[in-house]
Amino acid sequence: MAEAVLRARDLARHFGGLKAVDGVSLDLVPGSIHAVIGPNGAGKTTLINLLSGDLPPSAGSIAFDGREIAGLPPERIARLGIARSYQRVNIFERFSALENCRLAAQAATRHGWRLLCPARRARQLDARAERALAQVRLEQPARIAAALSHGERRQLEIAMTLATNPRVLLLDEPLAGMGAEESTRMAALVKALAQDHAVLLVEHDMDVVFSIADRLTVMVDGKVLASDTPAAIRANAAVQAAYLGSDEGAA
Amino acid sequence: MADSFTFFLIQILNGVQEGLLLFLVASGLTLVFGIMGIINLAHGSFYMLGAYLAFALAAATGNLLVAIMLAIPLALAIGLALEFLLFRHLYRRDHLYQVLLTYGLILVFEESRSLVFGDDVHGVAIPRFLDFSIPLTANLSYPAYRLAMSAVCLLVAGAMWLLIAKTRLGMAIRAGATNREMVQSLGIDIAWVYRAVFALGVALAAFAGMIAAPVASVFPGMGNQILIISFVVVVIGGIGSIKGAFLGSLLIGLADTFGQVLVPQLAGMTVYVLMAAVLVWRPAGLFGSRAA
Amino acid sequence: MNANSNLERMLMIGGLILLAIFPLLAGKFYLQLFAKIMIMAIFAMSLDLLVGFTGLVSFGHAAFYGVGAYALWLASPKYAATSLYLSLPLAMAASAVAALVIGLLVLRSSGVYFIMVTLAFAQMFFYYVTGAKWLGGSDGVYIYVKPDAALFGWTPFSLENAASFYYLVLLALAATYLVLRLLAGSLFGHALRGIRGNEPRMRALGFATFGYKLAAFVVAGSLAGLAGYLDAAQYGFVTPDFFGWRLSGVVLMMVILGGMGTLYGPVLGAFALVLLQDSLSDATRHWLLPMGIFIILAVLLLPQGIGGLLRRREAEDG
Repeated sequence: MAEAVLRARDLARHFGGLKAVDGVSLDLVPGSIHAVIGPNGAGKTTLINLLSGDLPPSAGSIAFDGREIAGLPPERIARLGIARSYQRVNIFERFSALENCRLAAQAATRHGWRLLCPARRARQLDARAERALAQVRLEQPARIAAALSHGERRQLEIAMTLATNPRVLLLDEPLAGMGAEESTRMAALVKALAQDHAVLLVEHDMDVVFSIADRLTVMVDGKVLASDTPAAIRANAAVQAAYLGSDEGAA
Repeated sequence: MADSFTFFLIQILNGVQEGLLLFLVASGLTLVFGIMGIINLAHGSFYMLGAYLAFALAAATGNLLVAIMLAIPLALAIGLALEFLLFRHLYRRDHLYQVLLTYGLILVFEESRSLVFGDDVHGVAIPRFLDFSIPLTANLSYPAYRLAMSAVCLLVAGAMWLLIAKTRLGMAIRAGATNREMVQSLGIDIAWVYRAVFALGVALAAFAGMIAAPVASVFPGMGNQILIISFVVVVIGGIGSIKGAFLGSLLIGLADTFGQVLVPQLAGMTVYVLMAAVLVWRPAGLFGSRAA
Repeated sequence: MNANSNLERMLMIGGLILLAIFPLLAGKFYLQLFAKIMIMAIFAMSLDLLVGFTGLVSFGHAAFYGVGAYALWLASPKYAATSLYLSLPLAMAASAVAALVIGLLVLRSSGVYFIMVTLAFAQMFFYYVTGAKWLGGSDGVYIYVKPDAALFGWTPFSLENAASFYYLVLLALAATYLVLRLLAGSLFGHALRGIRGNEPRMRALGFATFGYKLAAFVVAGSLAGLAGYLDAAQYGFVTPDFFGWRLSGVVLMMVILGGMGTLYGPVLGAFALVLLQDSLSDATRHWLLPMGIFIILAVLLLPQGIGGLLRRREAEDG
C-alpha cells in the first residue's frame, strides 16, 4: 500500500460543551477512497471542516506530506493541494461554469502581476478549467451557474475542486439529492478520481459507499466506532448494533 | 500630593460618568443590532432628540425634572412610530439599505432640528437642588449634578439588567438574539419584542441626551458625535453584547477623559487608538462571538 | 454579462464624448459645476471598487479624499504653485499609504463591523485634523495658487483657466474609468467579484482573500485621493469636512442609487445627486431635508434598490 499523504491523529473539535469531533485518527492514501459514514450529527462534516482548515481543531494533529498543517488558514491548506466540496452546493451563482472553474484554477497558480491580465485571455487557466469540466462531463460550460440543474451543480462543484490541481479530495456527500442515474455516474466519477487522488468521501448512500470505498471509518457521536475494510465493517458486530442494523433508515 | 490624588479621582469620576452616559446610547444600538440585525446610523439622532426635547420642555415648564418626565413617554412614542413606519421594513434586508435609510433619517432629523430650533448652541439649567459642588479638598470640588447623573445611569443600567435577566420580555430578548424561532415557540410575538426593544433603545438614547443637556449643552451635530463613539464602544465590546457595551463604554469614557488630560495634543484620538488595538487583538470585540 | 459590459462601454464612451464637447457650449459656471460632478464621479467609482465589486461597504471613504486634498495643500508653497506632475502622484501616494494602514486594520472585520469601523477611522482623521494647528484646525486651509502644469519651462495649459481645468478633470475621469475597467476585467477583478459572492468559498479554493481586499482598498483609496486633490485644486479651500461622514455618506448614496458593481452607475449617481443638490440648495437652505426624505422613500419603494434592477437584468442577460 502506498504511503499516506494526509494523516490525522486524535483530532478533536469542541463547540462549548459539545464534542463534535472527539479523537478521530485516519490516513488518506493516494489511489484509494476512504469513506466516512455515520448517522446525522456524527461529526462527519465537522471532520472535513477540520481537515480543510475551515475550522481550527481544538486538539490533535494533521500532517500533510509529513508537515503539520493543523490550524493553518483554509487558503494555505487549499494551496498545499487539499480541495474540498460542500454538502450544500457552494458555487458562484453569477459566474458561468467555466468562470467558476477558472477561478478555482486561478486560486492554485502563482501569478503576481499576471493577475492584471484580462481574465478572458488567461488561456492556461481556461485550459485547466476546461479539462476539469471535461473530467466531470459537464457540457456547455458557458452557462451561468445559477441556471444549471441540481446534478450539474454537483458536477460543477467537483470540477472546481479538480481545477485547483489537488492531491487530496475531501468530498462531502457528492451524491446528495441526485437521481439514481446521476448517482451512478457520480459514483463512477469518484471512483475514477481516486486513481490519481487520495479521496475522503462522506456519503449516506450505503450501496455506493460499500461498492467503491477501499476503507471505511464509522463515526458515532464524534468518535470513531470502527475503521476497517468494507467487508470487515459489514461483519463488525458493534457497527451492526449501533448503526447499520436497526438504524439504517436514519443514515 | 493629596491634590494630585484628588485630581486623579476627579478624572476617574469624569471618565466613569462619560462612560455610563455612553452606555445608555450604546446599549440600545447593540441591542437593536443583536436582536433585529439592524445597523442604525440614526441612533445618535435620538440622543439629540432627547436633548432638544429637554431643552424645549424645560424652557416651557421651567423645570428639567418635569421636562424629563414628559419627554420619556414622548421618546417612547416616537420610537414606536419610527419602528412601525420605517424600521420594520428593514428587518432581513441587506445592511446596505439599512445604512441608506438611516442615513436619510439623520438628514431629516438634523434639518428638522435646524428648522425648529435653529443652529445655535443652547444651554439647559441644572435643577436648583442639584446645583452645588461637593468639596473634595481645599481647592477642588466636584459638581453634584454629575454625581447624580452617574447614579441615575447606574440605576438605569441595573434596571436593564433586571429586565433582561428576570422578566419574560428579557427572556425573549436573550432568546431573540440567538434564535428567532425559539421566541416564537415561547408563544411570544416577535414583532412585539422588536417594537419594544426598538422603542426602549430610542428612549434610552433620548434619556441620555436629556440628562446630558445641562452639562454638555444642546448643539447641532451632537447626535453624530455620540453615534460614532457608540460605534467604537460596540466594536470594542462586541456586537449584541450588553456586557460588552457596558465595559466598552467605561473603557472609552476613561480613555477619552485621561487622553484629554495626559495627551491633549491628541485629544479625541485615544478612543480610536483603543479601537485599533482591540481590532488587532480581537477582531470580533471583547465579548463578540462572531465576526459579523 | 457581456451584453451588459457592452452597454456600459457605449454609455461611457458616448458620455465622455458629450463631456468633451461640453465646454464649447457652456459658460464658466457650468464648467465648474460639471468639473465638480466629474470629481465626485471619480470618487464614487473608486468606492464602487469596494462596495460593488468586492462587497466591502465602506462608510469612511472620505478619509482618503481628505488625505488627497490636504496633500495638495502641504505640497503647495504659500503664494506659489506646486508642480502638477509632482503633487498629483504625491497626493495619490499619500492616500494609498493611508489606505494601506487603515486597510490592514479595518479588513480584519467584515459585514456590519466593517461599516462601523471604517466610519470610525474616517472620523479619527476628522477629529485629528480639526484639532491639529499645523493643518489649519477646524478653520481649514487655503490653496491660493492652483498647481502648475509647466514641463521643463513649457506650459501646455494653465489650470487657472476653467476650461483647461475641466479637461484635466475629464482626463482624470477617463483614466479612472479605464483603470477600473481593466481591473474589473482582469483575473484580479474576477477574484474580487468572487470574494463579494462568497468569501469563505474563495478561501477554500486557496485565495488569500485578505491580500486581494487590501489591494482593492489601496487602489480605491488612492483614486479617492485623486478626487480629493482635484477638489482642493478647483476650489482652493480644504476643511476637516473633507474627511466627514456626510461626504462618505453622499458618495455611498451615489454608488448605491446609481447602481453598484457597474462603472457607469456611480457616474450617473454622481450626476443625479450633485444636480439634485444644486437645484434643491437654490430653492431652500434646508435642501438636506428633501434629500433625506428622497433617500428614505427610495429605500422603501425600491426594495432591491436601483442597483437591484440592474442586477436582475444582468442575470437575465447571462
